[in-house]
Amino acid sequence: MIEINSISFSYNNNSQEVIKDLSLKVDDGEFLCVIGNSGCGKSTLLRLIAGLDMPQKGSIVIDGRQVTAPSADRTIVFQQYSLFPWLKVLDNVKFALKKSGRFSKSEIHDRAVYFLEKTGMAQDMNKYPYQLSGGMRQRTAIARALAIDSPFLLLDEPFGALDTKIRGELQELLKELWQKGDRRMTVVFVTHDLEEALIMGNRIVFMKDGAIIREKTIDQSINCCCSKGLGQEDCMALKEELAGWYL
Amino acid sequence: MRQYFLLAVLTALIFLPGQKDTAGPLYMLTAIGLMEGWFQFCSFRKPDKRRANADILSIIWVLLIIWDIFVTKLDMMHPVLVPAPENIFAVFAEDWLVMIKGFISSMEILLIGVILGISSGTVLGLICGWYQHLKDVFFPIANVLAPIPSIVFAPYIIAIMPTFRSASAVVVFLGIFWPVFLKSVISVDGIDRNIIDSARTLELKPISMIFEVLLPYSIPGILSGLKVTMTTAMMLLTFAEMLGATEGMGYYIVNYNTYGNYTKVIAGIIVVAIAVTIVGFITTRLQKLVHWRN
Repeated sequence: MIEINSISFSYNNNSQEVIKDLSLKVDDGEFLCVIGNSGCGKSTLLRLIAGLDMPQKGSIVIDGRQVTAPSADRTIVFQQYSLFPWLKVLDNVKFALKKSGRFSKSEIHDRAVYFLEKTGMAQDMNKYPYQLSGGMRQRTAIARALAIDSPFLLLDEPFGALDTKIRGELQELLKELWQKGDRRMTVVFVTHDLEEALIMGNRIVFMKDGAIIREKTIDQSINCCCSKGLGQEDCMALKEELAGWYL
Repeated sequence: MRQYFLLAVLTALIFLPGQKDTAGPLYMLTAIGLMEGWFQFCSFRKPDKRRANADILSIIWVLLIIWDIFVTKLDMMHPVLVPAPENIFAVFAEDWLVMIKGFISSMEILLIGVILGISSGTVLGLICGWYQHLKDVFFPIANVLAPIPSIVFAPYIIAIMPTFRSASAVVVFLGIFWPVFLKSVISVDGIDRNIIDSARTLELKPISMIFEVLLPYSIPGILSGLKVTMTTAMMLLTFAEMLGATEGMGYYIVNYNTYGNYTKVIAGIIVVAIAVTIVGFITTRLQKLVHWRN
């Protein structure tokens, strides 16, 4: 469980607070989507949960332990791809698996290949990042994050740069991996795409000016309908409701 | 075609008798033949560069023609300060073994100084760049020491080091270490923050962060500056050798300068130019070993 207790944060300790007295609970196994306008603090919130920055006030507690530093238990996929340019695609994924300390040598290779195949990068495993398009780099970053199998997965608009077809495939993959197994990973997914939020999340929170001002629980049937284009009315109604939050 | 015409003129000129006694046409013809052969080889490998190479060769032929006319044929230049080209090329035949030994000696010192300078400058620079407190302490110190030319320390280093060769290596090392150190400290700030954050989420230990993330990231930057680094190192080495070495390319030049033998001085300068070209070629090849780009 992620417990965010009245956190406030500003960059470089200047007076402009990016996150203001924000509290939030994310239950184990939840798929939380965070939406909001640009600059409302969504990405900053993700960085604080990941432990990359520390709040000036309040605390973040994950599974009973306060977050004081980044951890391999909380994998983050950034908006901009973050591959290591000196490693080929396959080696980028294997490096992360090796450093996570969770897998044996044979498992590392097999998992890396599996997730690269799942993200459509099987043909490009021996290329360097500079040889890939932006979308391909992002797919590799996603494969790397999924392969590590952390209990907490944080994604900052991971599919924004991808074309519709690949985006749809990766949304399905992420949902499939989230739902599979005895223990669901907890996902915090930042997106500006309302439809994507309806497809992916079982709870949506809306941020504005560094605080959470609205939230809504989404039934799994809605996720399915929105992703398959069925039951258009329910999906459209919800989309309009979410769009209304921005006004 | 222009270059072949000039070559024909130069070849004919060499065989014409002149007012100055020389070592004969053989060595100069050999040198001309080698240059022409190198041109043909380069043009075969890179046909698109043929025209540019031909123009370079034409310039060389023109310079040799002018030189030969004014020195060998008309004897119009200072007899000691401006030697005949035939005599200069004859020096290569006469002193080839000494030159090769000197070249090897210089390269040994150069490699020791450069490898130690780059490796220690990079590693220590990355460590200081990563730890803010170390950066706050050592960066200002490096900013003061780096601009001081290491050759200024040479007389003192020669006095305290056990051998002249070790002193030369230290001069080269100091000349390379400080700029590489500063560049490495600064490069840590320039690393893509997403890469650093990705590495942080993997809970890498500091030593892993430095050697498995910062160091590979900085390699393209180090190699891109390698040619300048090596040129600087060659300059420092040649200078250092002039101060009291007993072998090496710099020693060769200063030794014969002392005796007023400018034929050998100029031959030595040509050897240094060839050495710098070879070093530049090797460093360019090394840069191509890096398959990635940041």
